[in-house]
Amino acid sequence: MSAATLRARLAGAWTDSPRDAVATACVAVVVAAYLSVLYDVTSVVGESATLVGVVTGALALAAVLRALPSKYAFGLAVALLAGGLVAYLLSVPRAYYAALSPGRVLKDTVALLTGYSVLRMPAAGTWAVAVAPAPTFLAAYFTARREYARAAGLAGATLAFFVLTGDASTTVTLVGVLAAAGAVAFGTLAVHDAGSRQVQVVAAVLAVMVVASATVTAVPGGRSPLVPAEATTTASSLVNADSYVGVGGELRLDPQVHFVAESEQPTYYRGAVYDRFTGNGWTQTADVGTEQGTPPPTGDRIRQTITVERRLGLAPAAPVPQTISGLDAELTEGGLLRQTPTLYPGDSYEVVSRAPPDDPETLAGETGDVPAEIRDRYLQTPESTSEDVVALADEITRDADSPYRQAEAIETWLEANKEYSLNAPNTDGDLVNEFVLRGQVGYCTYYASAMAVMLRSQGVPARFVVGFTEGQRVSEDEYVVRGVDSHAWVEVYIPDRGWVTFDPTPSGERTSAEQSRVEEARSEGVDGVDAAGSEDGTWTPPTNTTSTSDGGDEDGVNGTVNPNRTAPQDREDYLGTPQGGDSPANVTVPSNLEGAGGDAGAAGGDGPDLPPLSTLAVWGVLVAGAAAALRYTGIADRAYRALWLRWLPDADDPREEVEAAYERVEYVLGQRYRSRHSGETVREYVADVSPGDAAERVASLRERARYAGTASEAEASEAKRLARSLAGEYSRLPSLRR
Amino acid sequence: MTDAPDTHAVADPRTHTDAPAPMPVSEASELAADVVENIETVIVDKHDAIEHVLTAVLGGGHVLLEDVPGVGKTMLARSVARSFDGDFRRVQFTPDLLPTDVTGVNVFNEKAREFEFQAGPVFANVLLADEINRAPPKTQSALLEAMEEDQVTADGETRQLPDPFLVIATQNSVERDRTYELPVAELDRFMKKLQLGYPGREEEVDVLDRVVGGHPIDDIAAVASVEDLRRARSATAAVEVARPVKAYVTELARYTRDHAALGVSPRGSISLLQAAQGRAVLDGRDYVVPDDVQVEAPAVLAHRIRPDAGGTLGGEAARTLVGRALNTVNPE
Repeated sequence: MSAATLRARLAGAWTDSPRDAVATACVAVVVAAYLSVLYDVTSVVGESATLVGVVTGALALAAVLRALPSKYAFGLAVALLAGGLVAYLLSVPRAYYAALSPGRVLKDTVALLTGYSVLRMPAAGTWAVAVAPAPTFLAAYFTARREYARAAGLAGATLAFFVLTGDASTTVTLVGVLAAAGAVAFGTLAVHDAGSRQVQVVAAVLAVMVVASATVTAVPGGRSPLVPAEATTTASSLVNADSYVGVGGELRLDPQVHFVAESEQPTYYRGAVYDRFTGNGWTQTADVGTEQGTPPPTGDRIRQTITVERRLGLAPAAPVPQTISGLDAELTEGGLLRQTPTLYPGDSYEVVSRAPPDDPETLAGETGDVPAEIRDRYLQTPESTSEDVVALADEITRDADSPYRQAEAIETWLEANKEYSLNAPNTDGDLVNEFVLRGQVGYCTYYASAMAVMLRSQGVPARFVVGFTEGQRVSEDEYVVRGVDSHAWVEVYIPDRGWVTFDPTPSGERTSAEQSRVEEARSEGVDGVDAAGSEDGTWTPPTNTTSTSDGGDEDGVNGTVNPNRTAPQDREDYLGTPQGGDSPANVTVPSNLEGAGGDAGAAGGDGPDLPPLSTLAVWGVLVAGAAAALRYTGIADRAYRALWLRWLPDADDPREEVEAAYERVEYVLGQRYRSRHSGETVREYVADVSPGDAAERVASLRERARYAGTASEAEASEAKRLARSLAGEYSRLPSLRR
Repeated sequence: MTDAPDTHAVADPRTHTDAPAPMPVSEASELAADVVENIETVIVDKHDAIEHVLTAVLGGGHVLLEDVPGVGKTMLARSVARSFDGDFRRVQFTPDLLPTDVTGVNVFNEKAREFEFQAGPVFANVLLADEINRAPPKTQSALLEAMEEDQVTADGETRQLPDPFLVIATQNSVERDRTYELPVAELDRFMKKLQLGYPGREEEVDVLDRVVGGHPIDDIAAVASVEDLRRARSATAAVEVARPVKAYVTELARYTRDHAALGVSPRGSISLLQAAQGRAVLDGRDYVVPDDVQVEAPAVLAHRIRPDAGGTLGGEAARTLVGRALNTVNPE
């Protein structure tokens, strides 16, 4: 191909029809849809700059190579993808690809395609950067060659992949599907150089797609962006087998009993551990807990027998489980229980756990090194984390000289400065930014996320844990644990000691909120609220000899667990410590930050929140389509005409009224006989169609009003009366309508 | 705003300071109808042409009749003239006709020992200028002043022409080789140029029937006085022309300018409005409607349009253009 023809082609790109422009824009939207998914992934693990660079490169490559025969372009894309995947495999931990086998690849692929979030992959950011260029290059290449259907198909298939992994939200999916359909449609229209009527049809069909997606739900849980999201997290418990836990939103927990534990001492029951924060939720990477180098715990042994009362997707146990019996589960290198079978009411198992030592002085003295694998995994913060949060964490931990002290300082600060409430606001932005810098209220997941992110920003490995608090003590060694006892807290890695539990949530408010929820459920007669005699009240150590025989209510409020006791034993001393003047608890959000709250309001603080762009786009398609359909069917015109025909405004000048009346009459005559030709006078027209006395009378009144300038009030009202009756006559005869 | 024709001051003989009080439109309409009826006793099957001449008379314009010889041009002019009781003069234009032959000349009176003005034929209420295109341009221009200004200047002395003053000129559309084509400026001064055409078969028999054994022109009598005519013309000048009609006329003129080498001048637009006023009176109305404009437009506009650069004025192409303008421009 000569340079001249190439130049001609390039020039052609700028002189394409509007249909081409629309089709190109549609393809761009599909590409943007799947790239937004990838961008979200990279912004969590911190490779978004690389992604942007790689995508820009792919687009530039497509622009340069647009003249390449498609065979070679396709080969190039395959090579790009293969090269990217090889680079990815080289970047993941050696252990992972050492175990690589065809069976493993197949299994992983199937897992990915059945809702296994990309975020759970090890080195997810590298993976995103690796796979992004190939489809982007091909889509851009086909678009540049005006092969919109291929481009849309390719980009759509890529988006479909992320739909299957569950990473593409419903709105992004809908936008992508609409844009893909639009690309194919407008591309076809461009080829056939179609008119505006066809464009209207396409717009109407897209609108139908939007409406259909809102009303016909093929996928369970599929939700149209047109339907407002449910504000309440209707989880029965925070603790479930999901690999993802969202942080925000109003929370309403289930008061029913989940399990009964026999334990020598009150403990927290760890359910699941999360290592990757996305800005508004936590994800478990596939190999969490497999990292090497966690020191063996040296604290007290605790023996627990758990009897399940409701179906559970995981096995709660005190950290850190050492041996487990009665349950077929894998215990990882890092001390996590994994691959637990679903537990049903009546199932029972026994766990022996051993936590790190609980002596603060010992822990506070540890300043050793952190193993590389733990650093790699547990220091991730999303790119959305504000510099101000980091600065605040710096300020709070300024005087702390060890990881333990740093954790202590942040925990104290959170407890002192934030208020506990289950009705915490949710935002679209980064929840930690919102909670730490501006928000005043939150519940356990807010506190725990904030603490984990702040610690990570200080280089202290931390992770997010969901599980259950110790529950209601019903006898000396028996505890009833309900959905309301589900909780989130933080584990902080202390060098040479292991993962130590910290709970930044103020315990007093939390327990009273939980208790009132149980009372409420009891009074409503909900089943399963009590087990193992918990309705008889809380067992208290014999030193407190208060009888519990009267008034359940009183027991509920006053007689529950002492707030101090709800914290693990090792935290008790610490919580009781009075805070000095220099204590980190007094560090407040810098005033300039609070002042900046107004600016940040644009991101979702003050003022009305705009729905996200993709939702607006879907609404836009719907409105445009509805408008197109109205135009296409002529309903809008007809409705306007019908109104216009009957609405004869009163004017100051009777001449104007007569002329307005005649306009209506002429419209009716135009519908009934024919419209006035160009150059035809009203006299000629009326003489030709001979419409009858009424119309002729209005025409002659109009002539006098217009050309002789004379019209009386009586004539004006006569003209209006005649025009109205003609309009009414016209509407009563449907056969005369066009 | 477009160049509204009513902003141009052009001498209108009907608005002289000594113009008589207008008669009611209905009366003027009756008078015109009487005249038309009177003329029709002489001229057969030329109702439209007669009406056109009458609207020109009412509108204060002059008429040019162009056709082959022998279709009744002169007869029409004579019958119009004789329907009023005013002076009627006729000048046969020839190549050797001098301007003074039209305007008049100062003659030395031996007896009184002084020059006295011998008025030419132009001093009449109706002047029939037969075969006007046979006279040289100098003579034609003598008539030009008379037509536009209603006055003649001889030997430096300006003399007022009688009121009303109406020129009906004829010219042959054949024998072009021994004629002087009328200058554009002079053509523009004729309100209308009319073609008569041959009569239909039956009508031609009627014509022969009437003429043989005594020409009816000899029996025609005046049905209106000059005073009546002046008052009717005053009534016509008072006919209401609403702004939409003026806008319509302007749009028509602009259309011809956009689509021809030489289009209609503002004077043409004024003439069209005046003719339309005459048409309104003929119809018994005291206001002009677009229909009046449409009826008058071909006769008033076509001879002012030069369709092609370097071509002749008027002609079939010009009439087609006027028709197109009427079909395109929407009367408001």
